[in-house]
Amino acid sequence: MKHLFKILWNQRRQNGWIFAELSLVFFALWLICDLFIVRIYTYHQPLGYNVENCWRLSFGNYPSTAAEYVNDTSITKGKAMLQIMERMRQVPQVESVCVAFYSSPYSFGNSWTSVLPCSADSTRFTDKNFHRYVVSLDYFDVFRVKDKSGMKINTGRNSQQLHDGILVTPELEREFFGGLSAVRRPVKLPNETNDIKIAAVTNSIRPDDFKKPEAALIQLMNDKDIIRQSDEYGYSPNELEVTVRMKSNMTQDEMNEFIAQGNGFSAGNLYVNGASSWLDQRDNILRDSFQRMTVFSLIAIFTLLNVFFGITGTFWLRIEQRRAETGLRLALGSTHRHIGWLFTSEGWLLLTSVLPLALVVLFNFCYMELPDTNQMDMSAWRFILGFLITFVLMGTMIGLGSWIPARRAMKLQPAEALHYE
Amino acid sequence: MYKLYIKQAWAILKENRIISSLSIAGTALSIAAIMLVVLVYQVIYADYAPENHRFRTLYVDAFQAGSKTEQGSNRGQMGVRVLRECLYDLKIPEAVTGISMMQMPVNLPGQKIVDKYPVKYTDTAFWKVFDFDFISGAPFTASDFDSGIHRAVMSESAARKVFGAADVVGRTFRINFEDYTVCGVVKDVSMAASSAYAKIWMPYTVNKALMEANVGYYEATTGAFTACILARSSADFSAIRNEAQRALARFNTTLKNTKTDFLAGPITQMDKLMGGNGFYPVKTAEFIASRGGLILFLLVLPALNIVGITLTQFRKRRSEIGVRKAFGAPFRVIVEQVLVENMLYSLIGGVIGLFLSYGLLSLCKDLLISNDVEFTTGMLLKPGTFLLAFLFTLLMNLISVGIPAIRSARMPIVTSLNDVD
Repeated sequence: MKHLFKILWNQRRQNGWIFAELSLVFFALWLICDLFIVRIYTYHQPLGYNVENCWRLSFGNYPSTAAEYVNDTSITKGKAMLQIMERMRQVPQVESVCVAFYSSPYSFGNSWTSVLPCSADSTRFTDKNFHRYVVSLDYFDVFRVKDKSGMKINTGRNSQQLHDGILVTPELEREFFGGLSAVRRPVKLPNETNDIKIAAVTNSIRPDDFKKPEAALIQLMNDKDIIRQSDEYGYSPNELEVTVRMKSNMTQDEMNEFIAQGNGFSAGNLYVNGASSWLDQRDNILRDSFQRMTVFSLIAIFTLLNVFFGITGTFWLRIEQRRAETGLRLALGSTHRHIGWLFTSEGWLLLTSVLPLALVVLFNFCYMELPDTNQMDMSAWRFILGFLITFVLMGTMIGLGSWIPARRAMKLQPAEALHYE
Repeated sequence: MYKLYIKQAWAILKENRIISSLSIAGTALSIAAIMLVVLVYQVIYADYAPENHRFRTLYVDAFQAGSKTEQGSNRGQMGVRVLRECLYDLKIPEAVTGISMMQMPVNLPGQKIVDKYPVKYTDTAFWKVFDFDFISGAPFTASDFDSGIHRAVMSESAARKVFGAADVVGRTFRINFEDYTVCGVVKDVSMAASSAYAKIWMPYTVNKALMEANVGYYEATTGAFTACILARSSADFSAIRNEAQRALARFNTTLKNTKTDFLAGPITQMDKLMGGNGFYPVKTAEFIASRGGLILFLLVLPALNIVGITLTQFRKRRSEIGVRKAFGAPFRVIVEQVLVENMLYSLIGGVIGLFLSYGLLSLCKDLLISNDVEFTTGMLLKPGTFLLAFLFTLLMNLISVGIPAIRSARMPIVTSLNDVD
């Protein structure tokens, strides 16, 4: 070991290049590893909902030229939509149906509002806005959202309570009330004269697979509210997200057939003209995140390949230069294998010498809060894991890179080597 | 003289196979990575059919309507009013087209299928702004548009899927119980040409929902339209932007209590390339810094490897250079020799790298762009691509051999002749 250090130090001028390259690479790789650690960890946390077998319905209106056209103005858009939803619930293949106002998981839109706890320190929250979900009661069945203790939302609560109050996520509960339970505590919403009670706390909900759980509130719509959204405020059934959860796994074609069967699902002049899977929408929403990860993996592979080429090249030349020395070692009794390992160890020692510098630089980097701490705090294990993975990756590349030159060194015959001198 | 350099370089290559392959591999890796970045941008943002004039087109993708007196606004797309009363009257551009895209269920009369197709609702100027390749038939005419005649252009693959054949001009299909006649069939458009992409194109006057004026909501200024403005030349861009802003200002004076705004638009293709969408100004400096930094990293890291190798190689040839200098070779000639010799390696590496980048592009198509995008030769093979690859190869050559070349040419003759290590 001491011997290796001596060799390294003697060749420090030549090693300068490699040291610089390894330092730069270590830094870059740690950043990429850190990104992946955060992403992979976050991805595997529970989402708080499930969108498998959930299909978003799209609607059309019969034109006056169609045979199916009905001249009945008493069935408004809203009422027709509710009737269609009820009819779907009766079908054996359907498990549940709900409607959400830009509040489905992976929805393109969202709505935010300010909300204040009716407590002494409510002024802390006057400028904050929270994500607000506006949904019908079946939302929790369709998307499998449970309450904080893991039970179904309507266990031990009647729907009147839930409709009169709001629900909050554990993160909002914690922000408002610390470690205390939020249930039955009043909050104030803008444009509401009376205080509203929190009826229940849901399980943690994450806006998408790469974000941490959010502080949010959920307001329920009953049939009257739904009709008001569509008939008074003019939102078309296509803007209100109507989702149906099927009991079994279906392909797009099977779903298309289901929708088109018989007379289709219609009421008044409204009819269902298609369904799209929320899993496809999920792919749309997550595409950018996956692309970023792909780009960074490619950069990491690029960097590691460069390390491989660099080490191979440098060591190859070095072995040529140290042919005489190698010959001498062999003549004095060193084994071929030992020679080979000597070079590989030199490489690893070089890598280890980079560690102190990397540790100092990266520690300061984290201290200045430059890496992304939005989704995950910078903890000791995140820092160390990044270090370990980077070290192992680079060590492997160095091992591989020094293998070919090492084999060449191992094949050397002492007489031949000494002859060159 | 150059022939001699090349011959010499070739001989050296054959002599030091491993080292030369490493040099070439390093260059190939760098060029492959850089050209992959270039190709991804090229496939998404360069000119190709039917969007042949992207760099003299302005895009109006963002629109905001707000109250003149209160808070609150709506951000999204514009209504037909804005198209008709502001954009269509612009004098400087060559053509202005309004576009709205929706997924619609298409079937044959009597069929009950809910397959959805992307349909673009547009006007006659659309065919001027984009160069579609008509296999048969022609686009819908101005009189079709004015009278809202149900005529549509279909893509070849959509025609085959709906009708089972490609020669379908004159045949009828249905959308939402209404009949449409095919007036033309075009070659398929890649999804990457996002402004022109669809499978069916129709006059927007046939779509009652699009034409409906919701006067109660921001005086019918919002809607579902974006616009493309084809300029006669890109030099007209600022003049067109000014004209559009003036037209909008005039339009705002006719509104009672609404003011409209194009926000950061109309934007150019370059703005889009840098991530702009019209809602927020483009952060040019940030873009150049991040992409430039990436390209620099992809160039410099392999260059570091090659510099290390080259420096060692040069130590061996010091006596040769010493002799040449002793015989009167000027500084320039020595450097030139080194550059030209290395150019051979760089060129081989560059060509391999270019092939690799195309290979990587098709391999990672799904991860980097999207699986739905079809590549056309017009997208992939552009003279600019090869020129860029050559330039980067040249740059790589200069960076990796520049320093060693200048250093060895500068060395005093006596030192190099003595070949002191």
